[in-house]
This record gives sequence, C-alpha cells and structure tokens, in this order.
Amino acid sequence: GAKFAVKQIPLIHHHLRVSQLSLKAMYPPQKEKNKKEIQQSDSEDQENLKIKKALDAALSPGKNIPMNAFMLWMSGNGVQIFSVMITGMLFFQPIKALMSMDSVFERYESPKTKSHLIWPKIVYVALQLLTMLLGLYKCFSMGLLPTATSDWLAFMEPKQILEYSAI
Amino acid sequence: MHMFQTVLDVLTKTNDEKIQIAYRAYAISADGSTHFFKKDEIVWQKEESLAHTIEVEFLDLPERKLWTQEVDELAEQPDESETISPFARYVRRLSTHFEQLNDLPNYLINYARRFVTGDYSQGPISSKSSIYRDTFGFRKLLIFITRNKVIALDTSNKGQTVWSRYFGSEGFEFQRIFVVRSSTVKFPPVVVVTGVKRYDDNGNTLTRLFRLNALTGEDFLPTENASYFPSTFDIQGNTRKIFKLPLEEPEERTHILALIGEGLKARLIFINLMFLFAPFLTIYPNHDSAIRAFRKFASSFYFALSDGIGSNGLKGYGLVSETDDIKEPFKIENLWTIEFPESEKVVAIGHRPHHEKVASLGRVLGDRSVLYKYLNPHLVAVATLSSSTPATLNIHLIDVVKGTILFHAVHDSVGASHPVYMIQVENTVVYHFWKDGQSEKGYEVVVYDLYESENKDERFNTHNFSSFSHERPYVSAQAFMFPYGVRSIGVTTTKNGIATREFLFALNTDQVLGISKRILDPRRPQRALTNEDKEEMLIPYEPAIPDNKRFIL
Repeated sequence: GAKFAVKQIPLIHHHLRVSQLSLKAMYPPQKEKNKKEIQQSDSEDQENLKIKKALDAALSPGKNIPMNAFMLWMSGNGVQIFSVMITGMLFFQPIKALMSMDSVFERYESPKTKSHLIWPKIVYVALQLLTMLLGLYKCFSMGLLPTATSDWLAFMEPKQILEYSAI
Repeated sequence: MHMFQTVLDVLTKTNDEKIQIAYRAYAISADGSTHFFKKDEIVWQKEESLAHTIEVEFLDLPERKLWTQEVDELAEQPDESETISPFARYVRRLSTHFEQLNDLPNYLINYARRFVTGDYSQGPISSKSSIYRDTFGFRKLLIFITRNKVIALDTSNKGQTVWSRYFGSEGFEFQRIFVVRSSTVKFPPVVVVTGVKRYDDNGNTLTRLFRLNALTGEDFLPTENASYFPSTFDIQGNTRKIFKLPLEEPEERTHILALIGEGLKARLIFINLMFLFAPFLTIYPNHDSAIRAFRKFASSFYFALSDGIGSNGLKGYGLVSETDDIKEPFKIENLWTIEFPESEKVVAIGHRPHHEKVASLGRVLGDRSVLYKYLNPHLVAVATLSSSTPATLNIHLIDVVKGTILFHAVHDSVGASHPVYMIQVENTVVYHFWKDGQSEKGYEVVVYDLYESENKDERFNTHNFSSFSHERPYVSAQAFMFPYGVRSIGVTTTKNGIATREFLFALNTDQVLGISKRILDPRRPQRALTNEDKEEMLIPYEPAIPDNKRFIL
C-alpha cells in the first residue's frame, strides 16, 4: 500500500505546480515588488479613474437632449414666446458651456492625463453642437431659416432688356 | 389778348343830390379765362378753358437744397463714376456734409415745428421763384394744355395758377405735352408742347414744338456751353406720333423725342407708280450731340404704329440704316404687320403707365415658393371686336418688337355697341366690356396675370430678356361681374412700386371707383381656404364685385 501512495504524490505535485505557475502569470504576487512600483500602479489606477470620470462629465449634456427635444415638440410650430425662448436657450447654453469647457475638465487634469483627456473633450464639444443643431432644426420648422426661393427674391436683379420699344 | 364778351353792371346811388356810381364788370377773354372787375381792380379770375383740357402732365418740384456737390454726384456721367477713386469720392462726400452743416439749426427748428404741429406741407409761398418740393412730395405742378393755352396749377394752395401762357395769336392747336427734363438735376425742369397748324387748304400742316421752362412758363433758354437750339422748332408735315425716348442728350440732359411723320413716297412697282405711306423719323432736338447719342441707341429701337380705335391692324417698324439726307437721317422699315380679319376692328389698346417701377420680380405664395412674373416691356394688349351677331371679343397679347401674338383669348356674346376699356400694368392686364349673352347680361371685368411658368420657382433659362427668344408667358385669368359702366381705367403708381396696386375706374356716374388688386386676382381660390391661402391673404372667389359705395374715392 505505501508504494502506491508515493507514486501518486508526484502527479498532484505537478498539477499544483502548473496551477501555481498559471496563477503567477495572472496575479504576480505583490510581496515580490518594492514600494516604488506600488506607487506607480496606484497613480495609474487614479488616472484611469479620472479619465472615466471625465468621460462621464462629457456625456452629461447628452442626457439633456431628449428632454429638450420633447419640449420643442410640445411647443409647436408657430413663432410663440415659449418656442423662441426655448430655441434661444438651446443656442446660448451650448455657447456658454463651450466657452467654459476648461473649467469643467479642470478637476480631471493632471500632467499624465492631459493627452488622454482629448477624447472626452471631443465628445463634449460634439454633444454641445448637437444641442445647437437641435435649436437650428427648431428654427427651420418654425420657418425662420432662409431656405425658400422667396427669401432671396428681394435680392434678385431684373433681367437686362435688350431692345427698346414704343407704341 | 382781347376780350370776347363783357357784361357791365352799373349801380347808382343818390344821396342828398350826390350821385355815386359804382360798377362791376364780368369779362370773358379770348384765352377762355373769366375775370370779375370791381372798381378798377380784379376781384377774381377763373380759368374756364380748363374744361376743354387736351392733356395734362404731373411735374415734380425740385428740392430745397444746396445744389453744388450733391447734385454733381447725381449728374455725373458713367465714365466719370468708373474712374474716380473711392478716397476722392469719400472726401467729396465729407465736404458736402460739412457744407450742409450750415443748415443744421434751420433743420432742427423745422423738425420741432413739424413735430409739434404735425403739418408736413410748407406754408403758403407767395414768390414765384421759391417753388419747392415738400416733405412727402405732395406738392406738384399740374401742367394742362388746352387748345391754345398752357396753364400750370399748384396742387397745394388750393390749386392756384402758378403760370399760364396763351399762344392763340399764332393759330396752333396743341396736341401733346412732354416733360423732357425732370427736376432731379441742377437745371430747371423743361416741358415740350407740340402744336399743329393747318396753314393752307391743300392740307399742308406745320408742326411746331415749343420748349418751355416748366417752373416759370418762359421760353427755355439754353445754358452756356450748350449748343444753341431754338425754343420753337418747326417741322413740315403732320407728325403722326411722338415718342419720348429714355435717352438723354448729353448737353442739356433733356430727353430726346422721336417724331414719326407721315410722308407719301413714290415707288415704281412693276410699271405702276404707286404712292405708299412711308413714315419717316426725325429726332428733336436734332443737333449733333443728340444725333450721336441716338445713333448708339438706334439699333435697338423698335416701334409700332396703329391707326387707333377702329383700325384693322398693327404695323411694326425698326431703324434700318442712316442716310445723309438732312431731312431724313434715319431710315425706318416695316418689319412686321398684323392684320386682323376683315370683320374685326380694334376697340382697345392697352396703355401702360409711362414710368413703371416693379418692386419684386415674383409673387410669393403661401408655402414660400415664388411664381415669377412675366415682365415684358414690349407687350401690348389689343382687343378687337368682330362685327358678327352676336359679336365676339378677341384679346391678343402682342410683342411689339417681333410681332408675335403671345396669347389669344375669345369672349362670346359681347355687346357690340359698348366701348371696351383696357389697361396694362406690370404683368397684369385688366379690361371691361358688356356681356350680352342669352342668360347673362352685364358688365364684366377680366384680369390676366402673366407668369413665366405655371410651376413654382421656375424661370426662363435666359440671362437677359430679348423679344427674339421663343418663350411664352403663362396666363392665369379670371372674370368678375362689375356693377357699373366705365369711361376710363387707370392704376395707382407709387415711387418704388411696392404698395399693392389699385385699379381706378371712372364710372358712367361721374365717380371714381377704386378696386384693389387683391380683389381682382386670378389666384383667388374657389374652394375653402387652406393655411397657405391664408398666408397669402387671398380672399375667397366671388363672381360679383360688390356695389360698395365705400370704394368710391
């Protein structure tokens, strides 16, 4: 009986070693590194967190768009005070936000994250422009944009007459 | 001038053996004015000759401004305005403004006065030399010509006579009056009056043209440096037609008149000697610079002659070449002839207002698209009536340059003994006739609106407008029942042509009725109004124009 037990142990030991090796590959044991490396990985984590938070901040205007769209739809196609006020708001708020864009992303800025912040900034600008586009569409449906022929009629020159006649 | 007839009224009053005599006299003078005298002075005078007016012209008055630089700018020739630099122009403008600064206190006082009193007309002005335009241009001179007198009335000051001039001693009968220079330039306005005299029994006539200063009535004296041209000018023979050309002669800046005279020319056709009517053209004034200016214009000048109401056709002429003949420097040729069938006679020719300003080139519809107007300055509308029973009225829209008939419409059962009146303005033709059908009898007014195409936003593909291209207008028409008979039709004109036009009908009851274009509109819908119709402010169609006394002016 003891001879059999001795023969089995090296197999289990081999399995254990293999699994230990794979575990090592996935989770390098921390106690093997020094303190500097610990600090580095900490800040990397924070960076990623900051970038994620910046992305969230960039997506926040997008949450207002459906609500604004619904308000525009409810206010109808006529040129009324409410429609004009909403449209004006949809123009001026994005402009103000774009001018103060830096202050929004200030908290997420650090020398390391600067280059990574460009992506959330682009998303932010795009969403503000989308809001302005919504305001422009509202202007179009109210009939305020000069898209029709009659809007340019006043600037049309009369044709030159080549002959003169008298009767 | 002598008095035709005088009535004298003598009053005596005895008072304690003293006899006092007073008299009053009423005299009619040869020029048609009446005077009332009392004790050696004229109490009142009236121009009774105005009852037989032949033609009248409105004259705009000059503005009361410093004339020097501002008007130099208006009067500059195109070659000068192209070469002057923007800086020089700016400096010139600045100096004009500095000169006008002297007027500032006066202007402020006048402004305060107008604001307080609300009165925009100038006060009564006594001296003749200070006839000026008021703020809105309501004050104009009306120049009437009667058989042998020219009278100018002021539209303010209760129509007082500004000047009058009697030409009876020379035996001319006046026919036309033309304003050849208006008051926008530095020089005073000039009118030309034409008169015809029959001086012997052979039927030889003499046409004389008088040039008058329109503000004073005196003979017009040419300014210095201008070539001399007499203020009365004679032409042998009868002038059939006189056209005022849009061309100005460069020295005096007056419009050139083209005179079409009648002449019989002998032509040998096969072996028969035939006398043909051949019109000839002279221009007035006919000094060198005017002829030079006309030469540049001559190749694009076309005209048409008709014998008026009751004739049978139209003939179109153009200028062909120049000859060295002094009497006939420009040769004209008959380019086209339209002859209506034997039984048809012309009853009306659409006359256009002389100065037409079109404000917009299209009509804006309710959905913000545009119907472009067909603006053809060579279009004339001719109405002919056939002599069959019942008579039919044919309306032809004819282009005078090429002689094409652009549109033809026929009305059945028209009253043959009632006159037809017609007017043309911008892209609209309006005419009035008596409908004499089996079940429908009454006056009718028909309106045509001419557009470049039936579809919206569609224009002719050409860059400029020539009668020799083959485009036809799209005519949209509508008829209305009209409550009155009419003696004449006119239309309102404004300075910029923006206001909606109103058609003025001079009724048989001696009143003037004004019907707006919004009522005489072929686009008036016969179904319920849609939102777009409401945007366009269209009135739903009703066949009768109401007999509404409020439209009477």
